[in-house]
Amino acid sequence: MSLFKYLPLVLVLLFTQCDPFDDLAGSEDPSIPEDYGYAEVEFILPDYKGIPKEGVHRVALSFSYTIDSLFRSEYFEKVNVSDHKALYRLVFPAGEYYWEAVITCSCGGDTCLNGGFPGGKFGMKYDFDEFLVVTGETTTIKTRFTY
Amino acid sequence: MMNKLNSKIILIIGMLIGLLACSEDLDLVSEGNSCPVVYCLLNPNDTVHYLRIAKSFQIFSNAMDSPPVSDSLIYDEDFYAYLVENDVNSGKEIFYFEPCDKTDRDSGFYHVENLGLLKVKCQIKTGTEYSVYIYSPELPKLIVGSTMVIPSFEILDPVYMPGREVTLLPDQGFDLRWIHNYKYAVYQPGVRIHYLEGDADFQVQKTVRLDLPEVFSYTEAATVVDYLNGANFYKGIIQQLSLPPPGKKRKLIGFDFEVCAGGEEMALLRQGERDENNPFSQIRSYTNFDGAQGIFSTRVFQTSHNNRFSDITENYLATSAETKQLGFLAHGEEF
Repeated sequence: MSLFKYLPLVLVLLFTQCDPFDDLAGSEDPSIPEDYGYAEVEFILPDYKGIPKEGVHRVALSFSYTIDSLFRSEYFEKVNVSDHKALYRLVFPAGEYYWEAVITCSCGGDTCLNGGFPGGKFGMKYDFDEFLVVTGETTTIKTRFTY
Repeated sequence: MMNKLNSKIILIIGMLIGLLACSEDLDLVSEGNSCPVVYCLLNPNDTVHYLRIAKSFQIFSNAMDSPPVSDSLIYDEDFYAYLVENDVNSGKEIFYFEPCDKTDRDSGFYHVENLGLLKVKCQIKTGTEYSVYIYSPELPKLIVGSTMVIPSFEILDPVYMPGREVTLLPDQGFDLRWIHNYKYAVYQPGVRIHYLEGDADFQVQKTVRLDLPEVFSYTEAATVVDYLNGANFYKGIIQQLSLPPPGKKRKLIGFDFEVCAGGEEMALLRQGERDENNPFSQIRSYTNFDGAQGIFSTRVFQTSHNNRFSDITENYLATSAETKQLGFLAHGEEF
């Protein structure tokens, strides 16, 4: 009888004691320094009409502090890109940055030219934009290559 | 009571006789019998394949101080060896080994004279089973070994692409990837770094090779991912390269990524030799020969050429406190 009497109290204590997910919210990686955040780049290879998927390749993913340094190809960070990895996660101090992604086409004949790659085979296509890194948060970047 | 006493006396006498009967003269360094040791690695990308046969020997002192003499390693008699191709489609084909006087070797501890070396000229087919048979009057029995030749594999990263560069920094490495379609294998990856050394008038291209740790694979049809650690990359360069001659500078050109794959038997042998605490520790002297020690397996080479380093890598090599004494030029600098 006494057990049932105290059961609600025990249950209340159990459920209010701790929230196992409380400390994890907003702190994705406890090892990163304060005032740092994440940039997550989804380096998507677009589908081009007439170009097989294996004919389009990631070439570069680079970061600059300013837009003019981006145009001068002065990067402070270059990611080692791969055709077998689409998601790249980086850690930066909170602030404003610029990213640039480059792709190329390796098909023979006029395939690349017809697909929109300037100069044809091994012609490059560029995409870039500004992004903001917020302390402890993740900024998601998606490449488009619409130019 | 009397019976009990008698049995005790008999037991004590028995124990005394037993102890006195023991001989303590253990011969810990007895000569023993030597055993044939055979190595044969088939390379599907080559047309000449070698078979090395020697015999085991005992070491009574520090082996590194006193390498064994030629006589303790070789057999006096001739060998008769042949390779059998067991192709499921075309049937069996036999290739006979012939003596080989090739003695050039890029490294090694043992003598180079009188090597028990045989060679066979044939094209090895991947995915096919091969058996080797060795006979000599001096051998206690016919030596037999079989292996399944592993097919070639494909390096996925790094791969040359115009404009693509590799950045290596102490806190930034590179994911190396290759794809294979056989289950058990061991890989020896390595990076061959090319650079120019000289002055404004004359430069020579040189190479330094960094060996990476072995990689073991246990899954079929899978991408193997290895990691080129940036910090270890620079540490390796510092260890391998001495200071440039006075007045000379160096310029980084690029690198080749090389992988040598060894078949299932090589994987088992290397796994056993590598670490005594692993589950394979009981197969330290693994062999797939019947009647000999050694290994009969496949090795396949793949290389990714002409990979480029980024300007960030070149500048770090030229300016960092640890590497600047190696005399590398920064990106854009000329001799």
